[in-house]
This record gives sequence, structure tokens and C-alpha cells, in this order.
Amino acid sequence: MLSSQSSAKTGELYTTLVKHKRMMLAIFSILTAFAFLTNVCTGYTFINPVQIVQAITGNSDEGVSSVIFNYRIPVALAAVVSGLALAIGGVAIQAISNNPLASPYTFGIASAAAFGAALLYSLDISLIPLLKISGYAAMMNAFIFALIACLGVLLLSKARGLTAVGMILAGICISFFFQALLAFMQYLATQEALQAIVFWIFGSLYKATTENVLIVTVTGMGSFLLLLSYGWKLTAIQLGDEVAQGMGVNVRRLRIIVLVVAALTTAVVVSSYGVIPFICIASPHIAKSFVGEDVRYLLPCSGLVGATILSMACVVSKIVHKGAIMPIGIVTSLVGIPILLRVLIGERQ
Amino acid sequence: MKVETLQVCKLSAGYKGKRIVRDVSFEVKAGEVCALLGPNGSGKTTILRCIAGVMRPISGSVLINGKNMRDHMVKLIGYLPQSIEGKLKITVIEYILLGMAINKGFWKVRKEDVEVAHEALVTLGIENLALKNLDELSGGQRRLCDIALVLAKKPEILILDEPTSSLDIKNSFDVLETIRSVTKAEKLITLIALHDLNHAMEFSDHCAVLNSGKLITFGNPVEVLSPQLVEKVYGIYVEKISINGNKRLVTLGSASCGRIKGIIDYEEKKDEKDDIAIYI
Repeated sequence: MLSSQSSAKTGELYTTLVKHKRMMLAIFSILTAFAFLTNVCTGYTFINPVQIVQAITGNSDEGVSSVIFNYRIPVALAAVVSGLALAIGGVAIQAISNNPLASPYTFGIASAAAFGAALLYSLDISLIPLLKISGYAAMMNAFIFALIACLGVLLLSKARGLTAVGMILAGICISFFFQALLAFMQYLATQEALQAIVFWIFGSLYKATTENVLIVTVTGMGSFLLLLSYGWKLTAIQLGDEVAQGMGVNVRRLRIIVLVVAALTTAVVVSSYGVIPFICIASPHIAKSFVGEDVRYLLPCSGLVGATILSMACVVSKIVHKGAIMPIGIVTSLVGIPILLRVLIGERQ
Repeated sequence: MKVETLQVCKLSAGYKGKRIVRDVSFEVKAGEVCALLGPNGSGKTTILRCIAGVMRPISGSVLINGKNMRDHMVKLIGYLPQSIEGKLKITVIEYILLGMAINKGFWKVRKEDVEVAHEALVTLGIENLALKNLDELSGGQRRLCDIALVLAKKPEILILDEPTSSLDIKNSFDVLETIRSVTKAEKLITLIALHDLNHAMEFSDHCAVLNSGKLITFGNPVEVLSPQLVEKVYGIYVEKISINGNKRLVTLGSASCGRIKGIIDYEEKKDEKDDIAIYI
């Protein structure tokens, strides 16, 4: 009798715990929606929400509609989906490497992508020559080299039995290798090419087009759903390989799948909008302090945190200097660091 | 599937090509607790890891009901490694549910799953920790949660590597008693690596004594754990005493440090005395 009473009490407490986590997800969803709307409203001229509704319903003048549909919404959507994609990549890589400081960038994906773009700007080499005239050559070069980096990490870490430490070491090797190649490209580049490389590395959501937003959305959502289905296993692997194996997790297979998925998602974002730092590492830490480390809740929460931070960073990049847009890569860290510090210090207190 | 027997047949295993365990064979039946005994580095953990399926043996096999079921082992086995290092920010109840979810293959937690997880916590007397975060627990509390995680899986075979390593005396006794009673009630096969020889005599039906990777003897611990065997395997001097018919081993000293002071007097006079306890 007593046991059934206490079981019911534990059940109730567990339900409360789950409700709390779901509420946090709802709050972050609202924050993301608010950040998205603010991002659409903000720009050289402020467009109020009523004008946005009028544009959607077809009751606004053509100029405003054109700005909203051709510039503001694609950029705001790019911020949301890129933030989400980078953040879930961070959660996945931190889980499989069992390292809170790891991110897809640790595995050289950013430097490899940057090298791919630099190869085009500096030596005019496109891996798919047909794309040269389409304007997608830099993006494709970046994407292919990001995948080469991922493959390199996989092959090198296989030599150490695909352990967490092996992956990190392989990632560092690959990262430094492409950084060296990138530096070499910058050394060879002309003044104009160097400028193009630096601008590419800074990252810009103003490269957003309907096509690349769609590609990032499909890849991001696909990866999110796949990683979510591995939620329990990604939580278990953080307890150590032996424990996870004992629970029935095929640790090696999980590492390969998750690495490929996270790398692919990040590669799509980086090749589309350039290197956007901080989101991959910080979003999981901020989310952890609200929903804990159960990946079933951490993954969506982290994605929403990433989307919110990147959207707010995009807003800041537009208002810091009227008429000019600061590169997003500079702003994300400046916006994100105070949030991360506030959360971490608040958690300690 | 009901597991009736577990046979370890000529098992050899090691790391980086070096053999740690050589040609070990023994058999355990349902409802029995088998203790693996031996000094550090004798191969207890290696044998348990091979049985649990987290390590491949160099040669030999592990048979369940006479069949090699390597691919299905993980569903049948509840494995507790020597230590679980990971400190996650999840509650104890979520931790227990984690093990169940992966084993049973569910994604969404149902009310019944929470009840099973709670039952495992009650079995170990730690239901008050259900909503505490794992990273807030003491070493002993964490070990109890690890054992609850394994029990909640409701395995057919329990593989426990030094489950009492960070527990106090009372908790050690309580946990081993729980493991024994669960083994008997559910007709499980339990293999447990232990360092305390008296725990082996009290709570296990069989013991496999290992030294330098070889099986020295296998049998009822009360019978096989003689002072001569203990001296040969561990290099310590013990006396087997009887308290109300229950055999216990008392340490008298070690080969490296010599006899404990005061024990020498006892050893000289022990033939004259009936009640050894006076001298301890």
C-alpha cells in the first residue's frame, strides 16, 4: 500500500518534471517567434507588425511587400534555421565526443569550408566548374571540403577505435591542416581576393535566398528528427562507452551516424552563410541549464536557443550602425557571451 | 526466453594482443549467485566484460542454454561496470528510465515505465533520491542508483563488477542481500566480482577463484576458501572460524607485512581455545 502510494507520488513528480521541461520548450518557442518577428521588422527602415500582416494578406504597397518577401523574411528564416541547425550539431558532437567544449567546428568543418571558398577566390578553382557562372561555386567548394574534413575525421579516428578522445584528436589534426591551407590561400591571394575570403569567413545571412533557406531547412529538420530518434542513446553515450554498450548501444555505429549527420548539417549552413561561431558551443550549455541533459529535451531546446540567439544577433547587426550591416560572425559572440555568462553564473548562485 | 544455464568455455581474453585470461571454464545455473574472486589484475573484470558482450574474447565462448547467443546477449544481460564516470545533469528517475528505454526500445515514457523504475529504487531503498540530479549524489548513492539501473532492466543475467566498491558496510550487506534474493526469486543467473571473501561466503552459491588470469578453483565458497588457498592466491594469512555454524575468514596478517601483533600469541595457543572471538 505504502509502496503504491510512493510510486504514485514519484509518478506525479516525474510528470511535473516533464511538464516543466515542456513549458521551457514552449517559452523558447515563443522567444524564437518573437526574435524572428523582430528580425523581420528591423532594418534600414522599421516595418511594424501591422505592415507585415498587410503584406501577407496582400494589402500593402509593392515596395514594402518586396522588401519583406525578398529580403527580410529570407534573412529572418535563414537566422532561425541556421541557428537551429548549428545548435543541434553542437549537442550531437558534444554527446558523441563526451566533451562540453567540442562542436562541429572542432572537427575542422569550418576551416575546411573556408579553405574551399578561398580556393575559388584565390586560385579560381571550382570543384564543379559548371557552377562557376551560377554564383554557387564558393558554396559548393565549401560544402565539398567540409565533407572531406568529416571523412578525414572518421578515417583518422577509426585508427583509434572511434573513441571520444580519438575523434577529438583526429578533429584537431584535420582542423589545423585546413587552417594551414587556408592561411596559404590567403598568402597567395590578391588584395580583392583576400577581402572576399575575409568577408566569407565572417559569415553573412544576407546571402540568404529561397533556395539555400530551403536546403538548410530540409537538412536541419531532417537531422533534427534523426538525432531526436537517437535521444536516449545520445544521453547514454555520455555515461561512457562501456555503460552505453552494456545498455545495448552500438557505440561505434552511433558515432559514425551522428558525426556524419552533424557534419552534413553544419556543412550546409557554413557553405551557405559562412562561418557563424559560438552558436554550436553555447546553445547546448544554455539549454542544459533549463532542461537538463536528457537529449530528448536538450536537442529541441538547444535548437530554439540557437535560433533565438542568431535571430537577435541578426537584429543587432542591423542596428549597430544604421545603413550598414555588421558581419553576423562578429555579432553572435558579442550577443551570445553575455547570455551564456548570465545563465552560468545564475545557475551557480 | 528463460535462461537456464550460462557456460564459460575455455575463455581467453586480453588487451592489445596480451592475454589476461587463459582457458577459463565454469558453469552457473538459474537461481545461482557466482562470485568471481582474485587479487587485482587476476582477470575478473575481463571475464565479466566478455560475458557482458562489451569485449570480444581471443578464443573460447560464452554459451546461454548451450548456445552461442552473442548478438542477443545485451537484451538478456544487466551489466554494471566497475565504475560509471559520467556525471549527467539528469534526475535519478530519468537515469533509470534511460536504461529501460534503450533495452526495451521505447521512446515515450509511459506511466507503467515510471512504476517499474520506482520499484527498482524502492528495492534498494533509495526512492527518496528519485528527483535528485545525478551530479548531486555522493559516490555511494550513485552506486546504488547504478545498481537500480541494472535491476530496472529486469535482466535474465546480472553481471556486477564490484557493486559494493563505494558503499558503506551496511549498504554493502543490504545490496548483496537484495541481489541474492532477486536472483533466487526471479531465477536469475548472477555473476559478481568481489574482494571481500566473507561476502562471497555469505551471499554466493559458487565462487571462481582466479589468479594471474587462470581459474584456480571453482566451487562452494565455504568449502573452497581454505586458509591455504587464500595464502596461495592473495598472499595473506587467514583463519577459518565458525560462528553458530557460519564459516568466516579472519585475517591474521600478510606474507609481506607478517602476522598482526597479538595474533602470534593466539596462533600458539589456538589449539587450547574454543572461542576464537576472544582473541580478535
